[in-house]
Amino acid sequence: MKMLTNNDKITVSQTVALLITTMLATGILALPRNVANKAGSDGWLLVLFAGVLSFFSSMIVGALVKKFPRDTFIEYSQKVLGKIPGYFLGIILILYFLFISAMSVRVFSEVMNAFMLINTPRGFIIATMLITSAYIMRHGIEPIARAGEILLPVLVFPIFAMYLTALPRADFSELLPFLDTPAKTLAIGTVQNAYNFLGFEILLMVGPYMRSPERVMWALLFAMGFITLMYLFIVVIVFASIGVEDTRILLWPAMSIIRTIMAPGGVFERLDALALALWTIASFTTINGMYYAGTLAAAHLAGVGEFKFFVTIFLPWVYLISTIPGNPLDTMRWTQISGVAGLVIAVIIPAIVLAASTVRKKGGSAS
Amino acid sequence: MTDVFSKLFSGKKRDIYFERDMSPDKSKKLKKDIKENEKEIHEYLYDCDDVITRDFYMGQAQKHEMALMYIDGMVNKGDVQEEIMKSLMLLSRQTPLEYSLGQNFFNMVKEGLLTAADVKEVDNFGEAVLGILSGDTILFIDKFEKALIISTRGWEKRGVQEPTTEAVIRGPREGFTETYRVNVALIRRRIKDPNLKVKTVKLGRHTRTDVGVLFIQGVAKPTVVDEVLKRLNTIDMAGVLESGYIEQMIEGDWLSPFPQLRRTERPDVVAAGLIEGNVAIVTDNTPFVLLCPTTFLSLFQSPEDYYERWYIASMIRLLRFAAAFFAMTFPALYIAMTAFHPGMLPTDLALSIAATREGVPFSAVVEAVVMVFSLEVLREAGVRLPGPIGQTIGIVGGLVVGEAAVRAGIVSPIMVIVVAVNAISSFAIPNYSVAIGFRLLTFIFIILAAIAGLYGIMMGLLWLTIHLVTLKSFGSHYLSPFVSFRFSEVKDSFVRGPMPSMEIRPGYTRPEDMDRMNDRRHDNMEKAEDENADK
Repeated sequence: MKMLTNNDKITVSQTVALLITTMLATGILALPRNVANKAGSDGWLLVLFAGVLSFFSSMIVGALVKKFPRDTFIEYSQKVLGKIPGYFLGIILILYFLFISAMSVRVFSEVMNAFMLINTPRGFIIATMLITSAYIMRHGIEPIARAGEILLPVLVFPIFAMYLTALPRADFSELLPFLDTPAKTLAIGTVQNAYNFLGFEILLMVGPYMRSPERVMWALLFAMGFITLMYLFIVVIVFASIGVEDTRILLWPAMSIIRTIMAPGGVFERLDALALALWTIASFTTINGMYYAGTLAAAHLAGVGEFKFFVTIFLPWVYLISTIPGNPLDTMRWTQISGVAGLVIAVIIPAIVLAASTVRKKGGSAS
Repeated sequence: MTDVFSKLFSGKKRDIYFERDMSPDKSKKLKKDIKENEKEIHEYLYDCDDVITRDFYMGQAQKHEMALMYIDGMVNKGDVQEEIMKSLMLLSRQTPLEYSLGQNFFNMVKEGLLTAADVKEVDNFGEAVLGILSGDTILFIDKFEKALIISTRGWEKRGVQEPTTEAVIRGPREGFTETYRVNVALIRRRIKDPNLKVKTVKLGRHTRTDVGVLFIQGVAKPTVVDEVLKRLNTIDMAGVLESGYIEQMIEGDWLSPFPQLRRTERPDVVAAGLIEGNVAIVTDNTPFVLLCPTTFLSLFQSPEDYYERWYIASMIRLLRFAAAFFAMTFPALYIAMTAFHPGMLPTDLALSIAATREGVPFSAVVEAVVMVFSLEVLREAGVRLPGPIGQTIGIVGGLVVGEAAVRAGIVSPIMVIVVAVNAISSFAIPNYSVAIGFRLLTFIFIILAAIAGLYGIMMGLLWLTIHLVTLKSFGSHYLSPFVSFRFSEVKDSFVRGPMPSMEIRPGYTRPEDMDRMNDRRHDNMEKAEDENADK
């Protein structure tokens, strides 16, 4: 019964939703601690700088999408760099996407185990999450983007509302002293926290599925701006509510303050279950985006049109990768590694490909 | 997933277009001799004792032999006597007939003598027999290889009454009846537009049910109309007794718990749907008309939403969505809260729940399943029993048994509240089929909550979301307008915007003509102001 409207193209607003929901993940729960450790009360500046830096870095990917509006990274890297290096990069890309989805689902299961389902086996959470992801992925890019569109408001409004309830107890003098951190520390911290804004690299694979790729920059600007403001808001609220010093010692400070919030009217004693319900959605969309990009890359690399096969094939591998870290702290270390890998994949490699394509004059006009 | 199931369950593939006509062949032509025709018809309608044949002669010389055939009880006998027999046997004598008319005699009868309004010529047995079976009267004239079908349909039928399933406080009280023509007329009366098209097909090998496809040309998307007709033509069933048969045969995903066509017994709803660009499917013998394409949101709408002022309509709509959510998840949420996350509840509430559960021998899950189950049984029993007894059952079941169960310590009073709220919520959804779908999901959510608490419920909601975003109704997104988001359409979604602001038709029907209204009040006002300024 496929008829009338069945094109595998996504609109600009769907792209924005896909980008935001992919970027927004459980990483935010640890973000206040990371920035507090780096720059103390100036930590929120790091978020702002990292957001701006990430936007400029994401423009490289955007430029590639504009230059090769019909190809995915797999195709144009082979066109530009030659068959074998391109192929090699493609494999790295697949591994990266699968690794990131594995880490996302792992971090999610850690948070779940820590706050909500203390006795539930980790494997159960990871498996149900991955199977749910596989279910939507088998329907292709359009439903994923549509789900992103639906889930974005469901996700964002309650998160804002939830943190707003912490406002009455907030003490904004916690944000002082202002600009007490040396510029060098700020710069290093900015780069180190830029990985929280990763997720836009799915455009390497999703780019050609955009209905109007020429507007990719706007999509990136909007998504990045939105995420930066949201992170900024959460970090500021966390700092103001529990203080910079306490933020440093909590594993997931953004989650911890929710545990202390009492819903107005005393309907709920704590909002953590609601928050975790929301993080379930956030992680789900992140895993979707990454996993889908991975299977798409595999399908393109293998030169077959059918990606559903890879969804199933990769499932046990993602599960296995996600069980590598031994404990929550270990997971954190692995997340840091994946962050570094992400910067390489999302910024350095695209920059090389873009530069090479300009030198060798391949691809359409990069206007 | 659907394709796997389809492969498992569907039998051998059949040709899409094939004419299966159980009535006699259309290629079999009528004969010249009236007796032979009569005999032939009697052979087709062998052992059908309700077929009446009336032979008579016409004219002063009683030269022209004629025969009437019809089914007793399906024709209006008064019409047969007054408009056919009387005009042919008595009134014809007042006009001096040329008896040498020859071939023109047939036309003379058809055009000059019969006073019945609706007369058609046929030349084959197929249509003749079908005509008789549909309640028409057939008139054979000797020495002609054709016959006349005179529409004399008239049988005992229910009148236009107030619809029982979609009652409104404000709005027309008319509902559809079981008669196809009456139903189409009810719609036509609301849309006096030559562009309102009615295409009729006959479905069901035995029932030969009239099924009409209605749409407004220039508004409804032609591809959707074609798709509806194409899907209707694929239906090859022994019988089509209700529009539910058609609904289930043409919907895209039959694994879904949600209906992909909207059904209504209200002509005003159908008219509104047609104006929005829907295609309506009217089925004979049932007051339920189908509308497609449909969206998830439209199943939550009541015609009153558009008749009441927009503040009220918006509030009621929001209430319905909240109700739908509770109808689906309330017992599950209760289980998740009490069994998995008691810390989330305020301490006093958690303590009072624990106190009421004191002495209850079962876990909250068992309690919930038993209670929801017995409530379903009660609901079903209430529907089956005749009116007054049904109410008694409701009172006895709901109040007496519930109270006794709590007193006996089998269930906790809070669980009774939870299940009652859950049930009442489901009755606030205007569309019964959707409400039942949600009640079905209640059980699934209870199980999910029992397995993994709030996480299980979240997973269930995610699966539901995934299902809904992939679902399509005749090419339209089921979750429109929230997918392929258009801000202008949010005005008519969770809320209902002020009437003058709804300037375009909804996009999910992909109408040919988007322009719905033009609020000219301001033009006039500005004009008046200008005129005043001029003075």
